[in-house]
Amino acid sequence: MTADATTPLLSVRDLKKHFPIKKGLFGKSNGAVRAVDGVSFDVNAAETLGLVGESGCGKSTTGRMILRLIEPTSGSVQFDGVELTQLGAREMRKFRRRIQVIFQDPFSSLNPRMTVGAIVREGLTIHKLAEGAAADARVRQLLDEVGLRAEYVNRYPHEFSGGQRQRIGIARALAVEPNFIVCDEPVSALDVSVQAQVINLLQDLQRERGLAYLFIAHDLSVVEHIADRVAVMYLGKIVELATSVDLYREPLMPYTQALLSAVPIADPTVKKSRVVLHGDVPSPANPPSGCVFHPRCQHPAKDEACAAIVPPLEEKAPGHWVACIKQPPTSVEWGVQKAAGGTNPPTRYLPVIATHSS
Amino acid sequence: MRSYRGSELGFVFQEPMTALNPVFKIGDQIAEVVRVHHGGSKQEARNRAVKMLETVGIPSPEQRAGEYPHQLSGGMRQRVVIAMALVMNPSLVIADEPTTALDVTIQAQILELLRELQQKFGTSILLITHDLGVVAETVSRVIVMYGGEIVEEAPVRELFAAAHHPYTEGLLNAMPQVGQERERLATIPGSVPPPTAWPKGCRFHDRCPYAWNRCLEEHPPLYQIGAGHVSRCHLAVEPERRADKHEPLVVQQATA
Repeated sequence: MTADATTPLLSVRDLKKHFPIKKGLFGKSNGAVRAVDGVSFDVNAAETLGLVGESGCGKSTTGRMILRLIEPTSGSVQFDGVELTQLGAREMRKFRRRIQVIFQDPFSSLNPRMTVGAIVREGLTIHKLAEGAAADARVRQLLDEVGLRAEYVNRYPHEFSGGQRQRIGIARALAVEPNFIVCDEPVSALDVSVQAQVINLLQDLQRERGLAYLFIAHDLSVVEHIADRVAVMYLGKIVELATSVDLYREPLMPYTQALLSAVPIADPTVKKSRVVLHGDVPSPANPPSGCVFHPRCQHPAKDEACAAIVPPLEEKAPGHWVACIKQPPTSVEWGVQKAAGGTNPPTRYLPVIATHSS
Repeated sequence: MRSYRGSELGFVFQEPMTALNPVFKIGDQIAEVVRVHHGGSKQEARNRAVKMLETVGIPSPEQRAGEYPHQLSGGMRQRVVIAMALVMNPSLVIADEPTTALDVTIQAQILELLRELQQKFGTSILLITHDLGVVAETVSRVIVMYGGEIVEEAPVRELFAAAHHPYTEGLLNAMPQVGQERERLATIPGSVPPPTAWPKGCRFHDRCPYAWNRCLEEHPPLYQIGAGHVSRCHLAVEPERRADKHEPLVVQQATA
């Protein structure tokens, strides 16, 4: 989806995960929770793609499907030209060396009975990258790189603070020298001051090693800071995908507009007009028809057509993909919209959202 | 004490999932507060509960009152908890991280609601939070705590414009903000020491970029900085030290 001709490192196409809802003792399938419903994006080498959305929108499920920690229902995940969804367990393990993950909760993602050294070393042993003294030296070097003292190898996770544990998680991911890391809310559980340390560390490592990140988060300010491009998810679908600069300066999807305007600004002198969304996110077991966002949408041209037509994710400006049939230009022509009950032709809608002090 | 709890003091908890009893209907849970403090008939209490649910913006409150907590979303549950805190019209509400467990769009709804209710009932709110954005948008006065004690207190505008304590300064700088481009985030090196091992002198001295000998020895009192502005930092009496910015002790020790 980017303009350049190089093949992306990771390419996800029409990825879906439907969890069946079972009823009764023998589990007769009775509908499905469409946790992820047709998601497509690319991640280039040495790039950070941010994936944002509210809880339950499917962002973590997407991350886990790439790693095949959750098996996708359908769709394709290509890593460096290889289709991961078709691989057997043995071949997949080889790729796990190149795709690593950092989890949200540094308290539950480290085995409390293993020493820090053993945790970081495990990957080296499994992938036969180093043994004996060489492995010990490598573990010490890794701890040093993530800003922990090498003497810590014999300590247990409970002896560390949240920020230090997240550093251990990062060292574990780095041990096998991956090209790509799925960061699943890596700083959400940390305090502001420690969060900044971890973000800086992730950026330094990216610069040194040319890592690509899929950075999953619900904190929009963190994502703006770290990501090159950002994808916004709502109810299992990507509704907007653009460079970080474009997305924060000119959000086109009404959902993104509301999401950005809801972020509190740490400046008491700013008085902003806020788009307050009403109601809650609908259940993914029973998503609204047409555009999944239409029941809560504040776009002035919203009409019957929004409830009938599923908006395609289309390029409205170079590199700026948006799923909304009411933001021009759109490939869903006015005649088609009228036939579906549309009464308001598409008009550009850009509410003024103060995101910084003037 | 029990007669004050619920009637004069309302409490809004962080986790709306655990703050409600899962086996009672929400209407009954709110009505219980009314029955305990106000007495009256069950019907009367129930009517008041339904009215309160309407006030906090729950659609079809009559029907919702008969539902259980698990049937509501996180935002709705937090509204129920707020309804429960406010039903006796208390003079003070303590809100302990009321929006931390919620998404930003729901957070915006709840903060809006708290503001509205405050204007309507004239309630005082003690808002406990770690989110400086929420602080800037909702409160009038701020107390910053570190290591079990107050380190700074100021009116909100003054705190953000002219933070005095190095910890407050560090917190404000460490926060990424939408619409603000920065190559690197400022950090506060090190981590908060455990409450069993506060350092001697100023509890922040080993992470502070201005610390000098005095900070290692002498525990600073709360100095008056301006009108309603106090700070627990020796910089108040030796302001020239602010020019002498250096690597904090934790960094010096780590590299030594």
